[in-house]
Amino acid sequence: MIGGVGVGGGSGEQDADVARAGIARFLHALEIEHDDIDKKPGAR
Amino acid sequence: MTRLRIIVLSTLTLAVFPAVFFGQVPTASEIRDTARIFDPEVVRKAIASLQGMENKARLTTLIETVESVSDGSIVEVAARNARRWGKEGLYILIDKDDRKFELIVTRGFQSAIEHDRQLVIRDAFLDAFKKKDFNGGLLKGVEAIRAASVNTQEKGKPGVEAANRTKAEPSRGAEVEVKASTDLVARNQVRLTLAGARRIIAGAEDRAAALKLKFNIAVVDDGGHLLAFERMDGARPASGYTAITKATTAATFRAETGPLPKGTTAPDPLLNISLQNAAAASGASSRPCSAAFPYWSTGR
Repeated sequence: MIGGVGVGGGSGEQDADVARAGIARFLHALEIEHDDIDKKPGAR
Repeated sequence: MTRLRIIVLSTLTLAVFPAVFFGQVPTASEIRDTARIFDPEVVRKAIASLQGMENKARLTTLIETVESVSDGSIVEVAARNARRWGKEGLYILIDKDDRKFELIVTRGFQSAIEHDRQLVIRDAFLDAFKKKDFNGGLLKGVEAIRAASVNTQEKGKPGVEAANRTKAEPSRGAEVEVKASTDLVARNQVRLTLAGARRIIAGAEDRAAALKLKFNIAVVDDGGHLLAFERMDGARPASGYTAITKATTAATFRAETGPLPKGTTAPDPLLNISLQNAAAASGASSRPCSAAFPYWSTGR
């Protein structure tokens, strides 16, 4: 666990969507598969 | 023996001479204008410029245009194409019909071409594209890449080799350090950097733009301390605190945020008390729920 991402301003689902996109971009940069996003506790 | 040495020396000299004397290394930078949005002459000029950069800064660039990205989002397609490309440098995908643009900087150049420079490159392309000046956009974009490549030269050789070395063959010092780890302290931890936090915000911002909505985006470290924050123009200022609180809650609770578990029909008094105490102790940077608001934190 290396940190947390929080998004505010839209509906709950939209916030989560935007946060996931940010993490996906980050994980891609680390060459980690996008499928790992939902497996990482605290990632969003 | 002397004769043998002379022969060997001559062979080595012949092998090394062309590369040293002419300073030429095969280049891989290219422009694949499948959608035919650029003039061939401009493409030739841009390729020459990219290949010159590649010789100087070892920054390989592939610019690809397509009529339309049909199988997935441009982010996913660009990521997939960049992986297939298999080189270190910049990969740019331009979607003609949907007017989309995606820039991928591979790992070896991410420290040299950081988020701010990536935005400069993107803007150089898009400012002209928005005026339907595709040739101008290409040349300005390539010029922005050239400016960014200067940074890669200033920082020395890009991190490709260092990254590969760390992955494949850790230094002896690092090996010793790992073996010396004890239970008293945690060593060799992975930490999120400002560059990483900015990358997250960039990805989130692009998604927000696709949704045509304005958001506040906060990234904290593993201790819940703010690393990077962005309030997009037009976003609700008050939601900034919400975003920071969500990020801190997710990080310090070591769990993703979201709705209470399924089946929770009544508030749990102990959970509520513990969460409120946590909120008080954290200076309200952690967020408790109430029965009326069924989210113990507000990740969604």
